Amino acid sequence: MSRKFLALSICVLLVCGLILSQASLAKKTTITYWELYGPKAPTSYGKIIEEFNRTHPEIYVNDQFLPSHTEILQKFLATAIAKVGYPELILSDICFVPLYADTGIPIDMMPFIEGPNGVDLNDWFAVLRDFGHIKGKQYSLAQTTNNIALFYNKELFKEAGLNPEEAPKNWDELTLYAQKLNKPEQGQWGVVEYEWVHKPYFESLSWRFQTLVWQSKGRVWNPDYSKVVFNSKEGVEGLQWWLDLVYKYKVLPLNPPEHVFESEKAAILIDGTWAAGSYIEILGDKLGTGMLPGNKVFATNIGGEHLMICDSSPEKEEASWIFAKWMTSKKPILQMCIDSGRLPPRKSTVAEFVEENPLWEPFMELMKYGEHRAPIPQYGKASEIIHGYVERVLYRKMDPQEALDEAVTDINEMLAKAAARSE
Amino acid sequence: MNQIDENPLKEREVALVNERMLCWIKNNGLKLLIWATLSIGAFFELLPFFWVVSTSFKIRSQILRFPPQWIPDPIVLKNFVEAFNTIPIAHFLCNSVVVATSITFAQVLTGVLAAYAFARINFYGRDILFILFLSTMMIPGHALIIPHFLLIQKFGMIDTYGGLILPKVTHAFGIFLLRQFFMTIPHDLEDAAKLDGCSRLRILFNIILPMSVPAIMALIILTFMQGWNDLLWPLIVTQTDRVRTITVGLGHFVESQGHRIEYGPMMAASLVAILPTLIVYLFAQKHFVRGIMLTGLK
Amino acid sequence: MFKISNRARENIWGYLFILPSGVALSIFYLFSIGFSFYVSLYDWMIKRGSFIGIGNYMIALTSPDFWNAVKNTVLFTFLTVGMQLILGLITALLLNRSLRGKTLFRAVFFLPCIIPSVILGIIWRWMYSPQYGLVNFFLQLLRLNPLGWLRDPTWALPALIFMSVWQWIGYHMIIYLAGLQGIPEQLYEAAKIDGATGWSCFRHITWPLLRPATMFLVIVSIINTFQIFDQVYVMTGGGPMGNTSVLVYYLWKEAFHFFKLGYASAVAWLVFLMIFAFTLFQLKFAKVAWW
Repeated sequence: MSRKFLALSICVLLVCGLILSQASLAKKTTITYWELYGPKAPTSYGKIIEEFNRTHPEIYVNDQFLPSHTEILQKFLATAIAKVGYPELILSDICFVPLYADTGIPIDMMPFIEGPNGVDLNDWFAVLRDFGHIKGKQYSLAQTTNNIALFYNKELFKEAGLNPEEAPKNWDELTLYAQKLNKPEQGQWGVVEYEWVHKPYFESLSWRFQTLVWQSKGRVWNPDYSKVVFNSKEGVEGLQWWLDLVYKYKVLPLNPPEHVFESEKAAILIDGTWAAGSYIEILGDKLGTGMLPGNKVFATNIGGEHLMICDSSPEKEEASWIFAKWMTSKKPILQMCIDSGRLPPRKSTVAEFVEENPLWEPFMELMKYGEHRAPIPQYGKASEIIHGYVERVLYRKMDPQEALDEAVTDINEMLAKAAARSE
Repeated sequence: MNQIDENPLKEREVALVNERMLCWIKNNGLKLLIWATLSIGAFFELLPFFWVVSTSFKIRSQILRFPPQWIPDPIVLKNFVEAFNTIPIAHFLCNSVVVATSITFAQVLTGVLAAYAFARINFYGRDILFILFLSTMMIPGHALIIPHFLLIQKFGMIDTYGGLILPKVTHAFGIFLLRQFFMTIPHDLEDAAKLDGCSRLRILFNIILPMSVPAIMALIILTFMQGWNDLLWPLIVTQTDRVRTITVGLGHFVESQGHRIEYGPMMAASLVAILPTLIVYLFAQKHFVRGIMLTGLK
Repeated sequence: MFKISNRARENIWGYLFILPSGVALSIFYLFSIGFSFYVSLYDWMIKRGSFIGIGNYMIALTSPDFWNAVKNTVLFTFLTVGMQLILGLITALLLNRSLRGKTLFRAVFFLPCIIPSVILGIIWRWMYSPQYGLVNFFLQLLRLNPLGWLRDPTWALPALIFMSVWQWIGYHMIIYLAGLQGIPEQLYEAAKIDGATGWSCFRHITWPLLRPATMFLVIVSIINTFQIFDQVYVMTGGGPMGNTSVLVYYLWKEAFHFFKLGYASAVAWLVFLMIFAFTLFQLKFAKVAWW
């Protein structure tokens, strides 16, 4: 008898608890947010969201962690089929924004931006603003940005007799520096590329390769993004430089050991700026930063993470806008960026950002020379094709010119098919 | 005088001992060799597990060291803390338990019912239906993921427990296994019960089942393992952490670190993830092995 | 009350009992595989597109990526299963004698079979680390050069093969053990009286009597190994240079990364047909086969 009573009371308590928790949620507008960081991100992203939830009691942001940009994209596309099950807010890599917009689910944020509770879109870097601006509608709002830059180990520079305050500025200097810093007997590499072959994500290699083309004053796409044109001599020049570094001078490893820069086994590192936070943590004062070495000009690839609001009820869209505006306001942006090396997307925050840490200055300088990728839905597929061919060149299975020619043919074919299908 | 006498005695003793040793080696040498070979094999089978444990308790600089350091010094718990902070391992394990248990329960229940019917009830079209049931075993799992995905999406069950469990609610293998086993059970008890007027269900649950414990145990173990270890279907059906199982959770953990993987937390998470399985195995490995043997002897 | 004949009652009970599993199997197996074929006939991207008949199949059969996956999968399957069989048999033969610690050995060898392949893949990924991993450590102990393993186009697939063999030896060993235990001792005794050596005992008694076990293992292992996914997902992602792109990984990517559901369904059916053909071949020619 008493056991039954105990079981019954437990059940009643459970039910009550469930009802209570649901009730407290019911008063709030709940918006689900798919993002990349999770509770224990280096930027304390989860804590920033927690603070929003605390200071905005009528909104509850249900923060869901997904492991990568491609994962968010796939899961989203899966829901796009049934037009149900997608979240209210998504964080996306800049290069996928056109693809998201193409599904018709992200909404145009212009009414919110120009509305009473709006933001000044001109405060954002032009390239970030324009990338999300498709056919007159603003689909995305940049939360952070990043680019590819150069890191180096001041201590190893000193040991090799180089000036620890000066980073190499162009390809020739980089080759020279790398040769001086390369000490195979000690297992020390001159230069290491992280956005490279060994990374399973295709975009890494592709977006780094594109900078090589731009740095030689070449173009990757034609002006209206209907064709690719990187099989020019500039493209080949870039690949050849890489091949020389790997096979001729042997200063650049094809498969770098794990954590090679942090364990001070590499003197120079080419990596995305978002990694800076972890390097500072480990290397401290030994870390130096510089602009990505150019060839004829400086150039880097602009990346970033963009917020998009999906089509749902008016009150949820309103709540999502309040959250989006909050996440892109000064304090959260600086919180996300200052320690991590992610770059602030708003010009008004740059001064404070650089002041906090002068190491970030070359990154912000690079924004002037930043180029962006093609703002079309097929960019992802094109990038994957580029990755496949450049990989083969680096493994010396194909000749640079031949590989680039075939890549261009494949991509143009794919673009033509996509254009035909959409008609 | 004594010396000359003692020497041959000592020689003979030594020779005797040598002979005994040789005899022993001849008789048992083969056994020793086999034992040594098996031990080496076992060592390599267990090596990765030692390595996980070793890495989980090391600090970073000792993880990234070559030649590898076997015993961590100092032993730290930091990796586990970080793993638990980054992904909700306990939540994933709970989800795996829910999913695996539900699938097992469903498969065993439906399997027992169907197997009993095929073994003992003479209904119209029984043999043809049985062959039809068996034919579904010929369909490999990979061929079904796309239609299952489209179906589950139609039912609106993406990212729910239902979506994870429903396609796996029954499997012809269990039916086959149980039917074979049921057919070996003698009829007398059943016939007696039928004369007493027992219903089919009661016969099944009160007579047949208690006599089929080994087969049922084998089925439970195999099905539970399959439900727990499955990656492909949960990977497709789950979107968020809500019902994600531990296999997907760990796979995502690796993916989220890109290629800059921190091996300490990675190994710590792996260790925690395999701990439940290891513990169960420790206590029940006899049943696991028996289950596999049973299925092989079809 | 209705007067139901015994015969009818039997039928009703029968159908009732098989109803739950019957319904589930019909929907999730029979209907599903048919639905899969239906999908494969359409240009089914995010939504059902136009009917293209065997279009997807033609694309697959002329796609270098598809054949690359076939090549990798076939290579992987036959090498892995071959080694698993041999090593499993050897281990079973060794373990079959009454040794001390037999149960312990059995438990140890079988352990990797019950751990999810994903987790083992993560562990082995760490072990294959070119710089800090155990595998290269042992190579260097044997005075061999360290290899790039998972990031080396030549060695990535062998790395996966090696790991799969390590994982499943125990399973093969246990099946063979069960088979060995079914061989009566008298046969060996009789053979010894006739003066047979160990090797001819094996060749004329053990091996033929193990044929059912071998058949079982060949069929089951090949079907399972052909569909490998977990390890590729977590260890190599199909690379480098697509050298570890296996069929199920390839079709998963086509279906759930690029949402070419129609094309992926066609690939799935082609794989299904390959497995089916192979199994039929095995069953039909078992007697005439080399074993």
